[in-house]
Formats: sequence, C-alpha cells, structure tokens
Amino acid sequence: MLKRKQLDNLQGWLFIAPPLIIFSVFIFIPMLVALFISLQKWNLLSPMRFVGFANYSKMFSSGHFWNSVMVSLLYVAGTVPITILLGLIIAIMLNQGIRVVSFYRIMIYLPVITSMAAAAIVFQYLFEPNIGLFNHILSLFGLPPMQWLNDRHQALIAVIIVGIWKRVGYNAIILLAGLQAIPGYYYDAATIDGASRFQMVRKITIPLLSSVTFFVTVMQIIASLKVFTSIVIMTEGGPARGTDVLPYFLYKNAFQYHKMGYASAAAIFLFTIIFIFTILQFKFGEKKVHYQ
Amino acid sequence: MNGEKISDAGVVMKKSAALFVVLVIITGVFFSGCGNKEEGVQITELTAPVSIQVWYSLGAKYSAPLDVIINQFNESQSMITVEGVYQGGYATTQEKLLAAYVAGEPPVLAQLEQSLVGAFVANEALIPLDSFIKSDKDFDVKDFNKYITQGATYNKKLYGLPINVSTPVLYLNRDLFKQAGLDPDKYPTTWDEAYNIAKKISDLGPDVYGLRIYNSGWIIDSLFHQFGGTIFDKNNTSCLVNSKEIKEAMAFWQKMVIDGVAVYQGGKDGSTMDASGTVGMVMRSTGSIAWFKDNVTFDWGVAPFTLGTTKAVSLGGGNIYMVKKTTPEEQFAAWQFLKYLTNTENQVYWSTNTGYMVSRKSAKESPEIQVILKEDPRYNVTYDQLEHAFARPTVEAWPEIEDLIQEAMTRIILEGASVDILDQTADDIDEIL
Repeated sequence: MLKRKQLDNLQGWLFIAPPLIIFSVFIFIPMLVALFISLQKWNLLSPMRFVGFANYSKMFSSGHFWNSVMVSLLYVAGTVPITILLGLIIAIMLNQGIRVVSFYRIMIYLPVITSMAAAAIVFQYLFEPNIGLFNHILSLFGLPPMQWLNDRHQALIAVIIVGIWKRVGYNAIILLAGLQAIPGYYYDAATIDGASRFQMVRKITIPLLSSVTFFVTVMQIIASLKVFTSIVIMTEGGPARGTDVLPYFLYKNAFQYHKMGYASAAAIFLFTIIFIFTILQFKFGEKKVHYQ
Repeated sequence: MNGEKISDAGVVMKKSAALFVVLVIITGVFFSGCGNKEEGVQITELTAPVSIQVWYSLGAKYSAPLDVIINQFNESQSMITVEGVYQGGYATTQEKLLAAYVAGEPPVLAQLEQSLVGAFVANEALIPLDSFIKSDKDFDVKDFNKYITQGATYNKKLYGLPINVSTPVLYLNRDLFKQAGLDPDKYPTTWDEAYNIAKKISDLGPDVYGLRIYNSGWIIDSLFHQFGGTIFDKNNTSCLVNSKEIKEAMAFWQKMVIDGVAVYQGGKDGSTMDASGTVGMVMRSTGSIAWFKDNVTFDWGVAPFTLGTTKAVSLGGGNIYMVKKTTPEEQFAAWQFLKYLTNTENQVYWSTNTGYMVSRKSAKESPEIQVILKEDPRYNVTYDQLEHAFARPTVEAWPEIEDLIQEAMTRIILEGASVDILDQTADDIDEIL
C-alpha cells in the first residue's frame, strides 16, 4: 500500500507528466541534441565528425552570419517600436467607450490569427512593382514607385511592414486589457483636478501601463527575432541577403546546404539571445509594481 | 493581473515551441535508425507482391500523364503496386528524400533535378543502374540519346533514367518583333544580335523589354558556357566564376539591364511578364511549350538558345533515380517500373502531353512524334540544340554555391556593382570546395 504522502507525490507527477513529456520530447531533448550537433561536422548523409568549436569560430568570422545578425536587429528595430506605439494608440482609442468595440477588437486582432503563409502570398501581390496596390497608392500621392521586394534595402522595409501588420493587433489587445485594469477613480480624481486628456494619458495611463508595455516589448522582440514564414515566402532571404534574418540563415544552412553542425551553432546563438530576453522578462516583468 | 500571467505563460510556451521546431526535426533524424536493408543483392523474380513509391516534383498538368502511366503499369501486372507521390518542387523533393534516406525509409524511386544529385552520389546513396541494364536483355540503353543520359551519368556509371529532360530555348514574341519592324523568322544567333533585336523591341515603349533575364542556375550556367567560361575547373576543385569570360558575361547582362534593353525578373512575376506580352524574348525550359500554349494569346515562336561564341545549353529537368536503403524486392520492382515508364510508347505519351523531350531514339522516330515535329516545328528546336547540351555540375555543395553566384549576379545587375565582386564570390566558393 502506498502511503498518503507517496500517493500525493505520484498524483502530482502524473498531473505534470503530459506537459513534462511533451516539453522533453519536443524541446529539452532537441535542445541538447542541437548543442551536441553544433560541435560536429555533419551533412546528414555521412557520419558525424567531432570538430569542437570550429562551427562557432567559423560562424563568428563569417560575413554572412554577421549580415544576418544585422538584418535581424534592423528587423527588430523596425517592427517593435512601431507595433507598440500603434498598439497603444489603438488600445487607447478602443478604451474610449466607443460603440461596437468588440467588432473593432475582432478586426484589429484578425491579422494575428491569419495564417502568415497565406497573408505573405497576398502581400507579395500588393508589393508587386508594376501592378501592385502599394505602388498605386504611392502614385496617387505623386510619389515615385518603389521596387519593394526586388531591392535589397526596400525588401527589408516590405517585410517589416508585414510584421507590423501581423502583430500590432496582439499589442493592442494586451494593452487594452492593461488599460481596463486601471481603476476609473484615478481618472475621476484627475478630472476633478482639471487635468486635460493628454495629461491623463501621460501621467496616469502610461505609468500604470508600464508593466504591460514591458511585457509586450519583450514579447515583440522575441517574436521579431524569430520571424521566418514571411521571409521564406516573400523573399527567401533575398535579394542578395537583404532579408536574410537569422532563422532563415540557419534554416538554409541546415536544410538546403546540409550543414547541420553549422546551422545548429547558429540555432544555439539565436537561442541564447532569446533566452536572455526571456530571463529579462521573468526578472523585471514580475517585479514591476502593480498599483492595485 | 491574472489574465496577463496566463497569456504570459502561453506565449512563452509558443515561443519556445516554434524556436525548436528546427531542432525537433534534427532530433528526429538523429534518433531514427539507419534501417537494416540488404544491399548489393539483385534478385530476378518476385515471390510475393510488393508496393513501391516513386517521388516526383512535377505539379499541375505535368503530374496527370504520369499518374496515367502509373495506373496502367499497376493494371498491367499483379505483383507490383506503384504509388506516385508528389513532393513539391525540385528542392523540396530533394530535402524530403534526404530526410527519408537518413531516417532509413526512403522511397525506392525518386525524381531529382539535374543539379541536385551531387550530394547523393558523393555519399553513395543511389544505386547505379548498370547491373540492372546488363542483366536485362529487353532493355537497350543504346536507344537513349547520349546527350540526355550524360546528365545522369557520374563517374562513368548511369544512375538514373530521364523523365522530364529539357534544355533552355528562346521563346519569341513574334507580335513584338513585327511591331518593332523586325522579321520574326530572323532570330538571334549571337549575343550581339540578341542585344540589337532586344534594343529595337524595347524602344516600343517604357514597359516593353526586348529580353527577360533571370538568375536561375541552369540559365546562368548556359550563359557562362556561351561566353566560354565554366563555373568550376575540370576536377571541381576550384571555382572559376571570376574568370575573364564569366566577368564578361555578367557585364554583358548588366549592360543590357542598364540600357533598358533587358529586364531582370525571375519567378512567378517573370512568368506573369511573359504572359502579359511585354517581353520580346525569354529563355525558358523546353517543357514551357505547354505553358505558352495555355497562357499566351500573342503569336509566339521558339528559337535555339545557343547564343555566344561557344554554342552551349545546359541540361535541365530531372531524371528518376534508384535509392539505397531499400530491399532487393523493391529494387527489382523499381527497375520493372523504370523500364515501363521509359519505354518508347510511354515516352511518346508523356512527351505529347507535356512538351518535354523524348529521350529514346525510337520514340523520336515514332509516327506520333514525327507528326508533331512536322506540324509544329517549334518542338524541333530543343532536339536540334541537344548536341550542344552539357551536364550540370555534380558538386555536393551546389545549392550553396548557386546561392552565392545568384547573390553576386543580383548585386551586379540590380545594384550596378562591379563584376570584380566575383573575385570575392570565387574565394567564398573555393572555401566551400
């Protein structure tokens, strides 16, 4: 017979078993395997060969790798601030007690749940230089047409636009939840004191929203570092590596060039960066004071 | 803020999951056994029914005739069942075959594009067909056109049989030729003539181009050969993309684009341009004849793409290969099907339905093909230039090398970079080799 305590223990383990097994099989073990492979030279077909940190030193001395790091950072810098700013503006607007707010909420959240693959294909048409909608809109304002996906620098702008479109709704909804958690009496008190609407946003909304803003910032940085689907479909990292973000760089090295060790080293690098941001989120995000 | 915590955990979970999808695949590959298939044994008879798979990369209208041939084969006998599986484009099929091979469960037959076979041959993942050919009296390999089978020959061994072999030919928009005051029957035979014709056509309007160029591997390989250059030295040990000839070829294309005579546009957008009738000339596969018939309303012609000082066109399309880590029974069945698929009658059927070349001399001599060649001489061009066809490089790292060359080309043509950046490209490629 099991003792009461043992039974409790067993019950506890059983409860956490499903996520534990899934996490182990799909995340922890592959992570360790990737770490192992990153120390090997392996093209899938011939046996692995231990090469120590050769993949890492090759990676850190490769111009193509640093190009990918740079492109990824530019992508983050291009998407994150704008998605947060736009998200905040939309959230504040939605919080004004306008009618049919749930309708707008759905509309704004729609891109988040839309399949990126399908959306990317549609965007490809919109960015087409000759018959695409975006160049048509530019021409209405008398602006010259852009080359978009055919140009190394403009292609990055194009995928950044898609990234913003895709994720601004997520920020808006999370920030809206944050706004709604701010008690109304702060605003009542401010109104009595004769504060303007702008002052209320600056002095009440933004400070009280800081923990949520921090959360979405970290989430957006992580999501932007992992951008992949839109790149594969719209640009394949091109033209001339202009949109060769890190996840695409490692995908290409792994599955097109069959350089598994090298790609795993890049994966470990990406993992490390994302891990740092995750720790930041846990450390500071949880500690933030909630004024409640 | 309870809601925040919940969504927080959810996002972290999603994030980690997505990040490690790649790693998961690697693990799958890592942990799967290598299979315990017998190798090197050749049987002559089946004692029990066997099912085999053939993986192919021909979508759309090209898969239908293949399905017909497979069904007929299955009905013609009772021991072998063939299942054709469409695996996506050439590169996707190659990636999937690699994964299946490493996992120990490959299909016994797979179609591979000409330039994507190197890794499989270098690592001995394919079975040469010579022993099957030798022990099979019904099969006459000499009936196959040697210019076509050279694409599947490595180290003097034949590894695959042709299915959709092609060469790039020049498609002409005859309406644009006439509008520009040109004789549409006078197609260019040198790059200088191509330039002059393209110039006259592009003068018709700002959105009209004389020639559409793009950086598809087999097209640029043809271009380099036509200027007298090759990408590698004879032993594939050193890269020659910074040779005088290849720099000259690149500079020529760069000039055509800068002068507004040619447009640099590949992929789907390129096809859209071809169909819209704003392109005077474009080099595309033999197999695109069917595409032109379906998508184009203007009067179009076909001319040889053997421009340049050296007459040369690369072999394109794919062959079907037999894969190791399969049983002797599967291999025997695969050989029976391969023979059937490439027999004279089926080649004629395949060719008349797709536009691709037949590879057997007997198929070309057949009344059906002869009638087509007579009624529509556009089909002749690819056969006529076949004697100038060369096989694609068999370097294992070709996909990566191709990307590096394409990248340099894009920078030279679209951004006006100097052709001297090819020196760096050659260095990078030498490092890979």
